[in-house]
Amino acid sequence: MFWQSILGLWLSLVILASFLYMPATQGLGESGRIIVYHVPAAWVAVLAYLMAMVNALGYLRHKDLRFDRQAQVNAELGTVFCILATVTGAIWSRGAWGWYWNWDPRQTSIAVLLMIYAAYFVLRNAVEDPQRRASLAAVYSLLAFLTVPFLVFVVPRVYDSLHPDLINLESRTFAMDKKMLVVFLASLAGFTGLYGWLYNIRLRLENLLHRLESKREVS
Amino acid sequence: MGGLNFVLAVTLVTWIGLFFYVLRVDLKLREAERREKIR
Repeated sequence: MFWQSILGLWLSLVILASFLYMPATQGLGESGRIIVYHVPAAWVAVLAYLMAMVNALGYLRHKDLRFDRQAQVNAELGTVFCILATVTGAIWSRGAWGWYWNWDPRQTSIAVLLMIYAAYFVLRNAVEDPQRRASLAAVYSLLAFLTVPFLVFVVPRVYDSLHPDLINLESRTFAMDKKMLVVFLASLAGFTGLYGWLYNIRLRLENLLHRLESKREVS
Repeated sequence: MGGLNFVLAVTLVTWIGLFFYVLRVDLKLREAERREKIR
C-alpha cells in the first residue's frame, strides 16, 4: 500500500503542477501542457514493447511459459499506453493543427504500430496449444519490436512532419522551459511507476489464473 | 482560465478515480492469492 499511495500522490501533484506551476508552452499555448502526459505515455509504450521483446527472447531460449505470460502482459500494457499516447496526441493536434487526425507521419506511424500489435493479440487468440502459441507469439513479438524504433524515431524524421521535437538537435538540449522540464521529468518517473504497478497486478492475475487452471487439470 | 480549471478538475478526478479502482483490483487480487494459498 505504501508505494501505491506514494505513486497516487506523486501523479496527483504532477497533474496539479502541469496546470498551476508550469507555464504555457511557447508557440503551442495551453494545449502544449498535454506534453506532460503524451510523451511519458509514448515512452512507457516503447518500454513495455521492449520488455515484451526481451521476454519473448527469454521464452525462445528457455521454453518456459512464465516468459510468455510476461511478454503478453507487456504487449498489453504497451498497447494501452500507445493508445493513450495516440489519444493525447490527437487532442493536442485538434488545438495546434485544427483537427484530431491529419495523417501526419507521426500519427500514421503510431497507427501502423497499433495495428502491428493488434495482430499480435489476434495471433495469440488464434492458437490453442499453449507452447505453440507461445513460440509463434515470441517470434512475432521479436519482429514487431524491430518496427518500433523505425516507426517511432525514424519515419517521423525522414518525412516532413509538423510534430514538434522535444530535443533541440542543434544544441542537443531539451527545448523546454526549466519549470516545464521539472514537471515533465516527474511525470516520466510517475508514468514509469504506474507501468510497474499495472504490470505487477496484471502478471499476478495471469499467474493466479494459470495456477487455478493447472489445479483444475490435475483434479 | 475557467476552461483550464475545468480541464484540471476533469484530469484530476479521472486520475483519482482510476487510482482507487486499480488499488481496489490490487487488494482484491491479494485476497484471491491468499485464499488460493490456503486452499
